[in-house]
Amino acid sequence: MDDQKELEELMEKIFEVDQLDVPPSNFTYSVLNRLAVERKEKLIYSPLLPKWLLVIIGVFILILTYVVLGVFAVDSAESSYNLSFYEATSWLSHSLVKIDISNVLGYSLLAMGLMICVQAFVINKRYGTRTTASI
Amino acid sequence: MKDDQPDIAAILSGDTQEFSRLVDSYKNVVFTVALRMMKNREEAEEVAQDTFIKVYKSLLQFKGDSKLSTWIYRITYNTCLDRLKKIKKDLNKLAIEDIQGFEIKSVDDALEGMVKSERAILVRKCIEKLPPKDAALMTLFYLEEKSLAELGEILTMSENSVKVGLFRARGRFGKIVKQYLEPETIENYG
Repeated sequence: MDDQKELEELMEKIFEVDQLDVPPSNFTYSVLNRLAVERKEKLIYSPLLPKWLLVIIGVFILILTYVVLGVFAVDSAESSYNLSFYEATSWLSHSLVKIDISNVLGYSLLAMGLMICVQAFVINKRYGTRTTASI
Repeated sequence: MKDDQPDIAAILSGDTQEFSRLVDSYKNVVFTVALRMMKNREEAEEVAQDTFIKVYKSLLQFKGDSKLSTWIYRITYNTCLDRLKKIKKDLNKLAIEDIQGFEIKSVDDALEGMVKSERAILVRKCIEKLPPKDAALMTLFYLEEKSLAELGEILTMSENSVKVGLFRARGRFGKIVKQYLEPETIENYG
């Protein structure tokens, strides 16, 4: 037991002169630099408009085109070519043409659809990526 | 340092300035423990950097159950152990083979005859010969003055195991010191 006590005292004496080691002066900078690199690697790129929204917009435009084409087809129903084209359109446009849509409304809807389409494309191209970083 | 604790909330919200303050506060101890465990300056620097990266990444998980320093030193210790396993360094190998027992009195007398700077060099040389786990234990106990309970938290062991570990580490360290203080070594010290 005495030996243990003496050993403890000896260690105290030895270690009272011990000092901490010092890392290189640029240590903190290196850590922050590594952290920045790791965070950059972890950047997740996700489109501004999610895919599902793009699909919905696409489907909407498609429907709109069918409807407008349907209106045109009905307007020029005398032409057998247009008539067959009209018949060839889907059941959806077939049923939708029963809704009375004026030419002006049809053009307006088409213009609006095209506008949305162009805007979605341009916005997606311009701000197509947004970044999210995770720790 | 306790009054000047880094603001964890600020770090979590992305304040890198605050994180650099944390690194500055703990880098010396982290580097010292890493150096004494790895026995190589380059590896120690790399491990110390890894430690702070881990600290940053897992800061969200720090609940404050223990002191921030204790938590950081535990990450340091585990990072060193992982690295040692990776490079397959023997954790328990004692570099000095066949060390005989020693008389405390003779070592004590020899130390009395040495100046402070010589003793500091001696400590460093002897710690280099200690197995990594002993080196970490002795450094944190004597340099950082961590309690047995805190050491237990850092090294993931019970207080009793820490006590036993310290006892054995002291014995091994004393024997290494004794070997360094052999007459021919003393001559080298001048």
